[in-house]
Amino acid sequence: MRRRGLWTGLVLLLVLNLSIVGAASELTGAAIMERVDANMHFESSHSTMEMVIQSGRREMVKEMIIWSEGEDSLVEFTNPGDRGTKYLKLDDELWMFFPDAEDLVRISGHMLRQGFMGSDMSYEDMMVSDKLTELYSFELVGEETLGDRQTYVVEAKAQEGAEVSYAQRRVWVDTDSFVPWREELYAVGGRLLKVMEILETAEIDGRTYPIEMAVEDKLKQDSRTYVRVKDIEFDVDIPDDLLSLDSLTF
Amino acid sequence: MPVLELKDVAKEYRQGRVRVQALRGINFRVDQGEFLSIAGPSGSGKTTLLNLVGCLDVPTEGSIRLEGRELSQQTKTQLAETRREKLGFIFQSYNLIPVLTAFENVAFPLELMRHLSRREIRERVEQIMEEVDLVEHMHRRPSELSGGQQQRTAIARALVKEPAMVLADEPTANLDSDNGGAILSLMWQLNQEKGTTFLFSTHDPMVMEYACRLVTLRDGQITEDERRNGHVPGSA
Amino acid sequence: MSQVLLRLAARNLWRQRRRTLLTLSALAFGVLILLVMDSLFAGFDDLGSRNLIDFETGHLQIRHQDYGDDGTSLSMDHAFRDAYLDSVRSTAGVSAAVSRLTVFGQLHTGREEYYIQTVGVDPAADPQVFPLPEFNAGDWLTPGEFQMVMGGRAAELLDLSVGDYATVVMRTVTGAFQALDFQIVGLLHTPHPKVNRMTAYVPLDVLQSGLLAEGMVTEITVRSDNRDLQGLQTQLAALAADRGELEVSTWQQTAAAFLAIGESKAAVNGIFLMLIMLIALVGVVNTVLLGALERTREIGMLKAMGMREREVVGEFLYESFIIGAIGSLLGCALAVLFNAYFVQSGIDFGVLVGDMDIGYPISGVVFGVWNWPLVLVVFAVGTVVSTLAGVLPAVRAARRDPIWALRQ
Repeated sequence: MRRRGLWTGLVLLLVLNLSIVGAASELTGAAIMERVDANMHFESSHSTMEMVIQSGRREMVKEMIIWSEGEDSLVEFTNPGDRGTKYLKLDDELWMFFPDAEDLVRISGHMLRQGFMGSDMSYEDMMVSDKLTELYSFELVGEETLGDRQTYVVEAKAQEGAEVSYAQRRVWVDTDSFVPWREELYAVGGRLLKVMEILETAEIDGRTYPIEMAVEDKLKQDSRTYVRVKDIEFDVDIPDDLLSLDSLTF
Repeated sequence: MPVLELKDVAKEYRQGRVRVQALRGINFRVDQGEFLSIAGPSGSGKTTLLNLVGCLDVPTEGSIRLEGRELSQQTKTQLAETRREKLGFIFQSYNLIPVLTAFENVAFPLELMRHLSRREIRERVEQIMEEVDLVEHMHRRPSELSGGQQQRTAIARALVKEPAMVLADEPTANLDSDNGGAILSLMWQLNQEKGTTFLFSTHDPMVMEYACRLVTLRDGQITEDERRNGHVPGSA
Repeated sequence: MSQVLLRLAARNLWRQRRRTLLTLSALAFGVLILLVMDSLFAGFDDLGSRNLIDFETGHLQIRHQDYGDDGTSLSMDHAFRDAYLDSVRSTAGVSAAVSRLTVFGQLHTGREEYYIQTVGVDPAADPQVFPLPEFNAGDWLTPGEFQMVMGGRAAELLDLSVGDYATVVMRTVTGAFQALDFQIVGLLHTPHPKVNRMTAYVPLDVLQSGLLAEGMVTEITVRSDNRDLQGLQTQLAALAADRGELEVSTWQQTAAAFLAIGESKAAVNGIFLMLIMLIALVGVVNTVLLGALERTREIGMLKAMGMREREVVGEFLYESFIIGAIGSLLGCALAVLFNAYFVQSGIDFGVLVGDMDIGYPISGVVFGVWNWPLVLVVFAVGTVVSTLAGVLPAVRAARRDPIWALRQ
């Protein structure tokens, strides 16, 4: 696929939009993650994002508008090269619309595993919205200072038989704001595959929300993707038929 | 029985919308052993008459009998058979088959007749080649022979099947007077020795002199039919 | 008389040597092309089939019924627990059988990322079914080691050589990423372009444990000397009957698309045959027409002498027959010569096709295949059609009025 879109916004939405069921009496790994989730959770949102993909000496810039409600979300690209290209996630189905060809494609199978436009997240990474606690078991393994912040270090191991892309994860969560400053994603056997870092946050609606992050693919030399939230509104009213297939082709 | 008998023969052509009367009221007969010439200006019907006599065409009216056989009603196939068995042709341009040797050219009419053995054919050809004095050259192709030699080959070819009649259309026209004379002399000899009937169509005064009978055609009709003593070569 | 006609025909043809030769040559050329193409196409088929059998499908395979259906889903979804290998091996008619685990992965060299088919093989037994070591420059695999033998073309594109390391990212049974490092110990240059361009072989045990798929395989491939693959297929199907999703396929069934090409080849052959006949027809008709025209007066004379029309036609037919027979014979003789070379030494298609993916499992040398029945057929058809081509112009010439003809 020549043109691939990336919802980094969705990364934020999904990876961080964790609905976690679990007790939170003392600070267990699970409890920490629940707090992370509570910080990020919202019913709906409308945001504008910019994504910069660096690969060696090449750099590509994408801009997009994102509508999100519950399990569904719509991403529309606004940068000149990809203008009009749209992605629609409905539950666990992913659709892509090419305006020039007026072509609507369902993305499935091994296409899901490809990275978007040479970026360092795959479609599939975006798709995961299942409850992470059902898939991973969390364990608080200590505390660390990251720069000038105090963080909890939580390790997540995939549960037996769980179908997740990353067998292990490690998250550094701010002890105060519960912002997950750094996350490392590992393969089975412990090989580090990707690193996600939050570079900047902002106070929005009383929460500390990440507005800039970077994802790095550790298997490639010099490969990095930056995402910046230009503006974002939570709990907005989204028109009923916006998050539907019809709206894509219309 | 005369070799050839024409009674009230007429031939009409259509040229587009115009009807051309090439021959009308032709009556004459030819006996065995005659050496005669048909003369006339172009347009006189000479060629037409020869075509009729030569079984290449049928008359519009009248009867033609060759050795008693009526030709005017014959089909194309029957005419071809008659030509094959009974007639010999000699033309001004020899009309030999270029890819065959003189020998093979002369043998050809015999092959056409199909009922002769190879040996018979060979014998007859060799014999006639002797008579026309071509034995030395008989295995050469026409392109390797002089005009006179080619015409002699044509004569041999015409005679080899011992036809009822030999038709010669301007046989000397492509030859110089010496060769022409030699050819005529040869034909006269063969006529005398074998008694073969010769019918010439010619402009050539030399031929006309040799002939024992001169038939003149004008405007499709016979205007003269003169018997005389032919100029026999070597005699006064 | 027919002897005379034949003699006339031969001499007339010789008289117009150049024209005769030209017509003859055109026919011979057409025949040559047809026979050589048939041979090479058959060689293609052969090579393609052999490549499939030697490098992809063996003679029979036990696989998941959905395996390979959706081109994108050759994933671990279709792996199964291998409980059958031993009983397969002891089935009568099976010369050799091996299990393989095939997955798709991304090969990372740091600078590049490359889509590669990664196949776990049993280093000791695999060569009994797939003759890879014959085409391997380097060492073969050792069980338990993180070693890789990869396609030479892929290595070239990625600037890798023997001794280098490469990381392959694949998915485990549960879909989690796994990154495994392998050292390249050998490079493959096989006649099959797919192997050279997109495949890497690693020890089966290493792959299975790395992907948390102990004892799992995606295919069991069988090599057999039996002509009756169907019978063997039924027997093997009985062995795997306990797992409904597994099926046994012959190589022809697996490679239906490839075989379709072979069928279209037969159609192409037919078209070529017709084209050749067209050349023959046109050339001969032309030759006869010209001959008849040139010899108009001569034909007139022949008819005046009493030659029958059918004899005139006969002479021309002898001419077109001679052209047809000699032309076809010449073409066949040349084809035999060329083909002898092709059967012996073949044509190196690698040079011609190079890197192109022509959708056909061919690279390297294609050998010719003898097809004697076709040689006889083409000779016969060429001769007959040529002869018949002369009929119409001959009849026309023969029917002309001799008086008119003589006047020309």
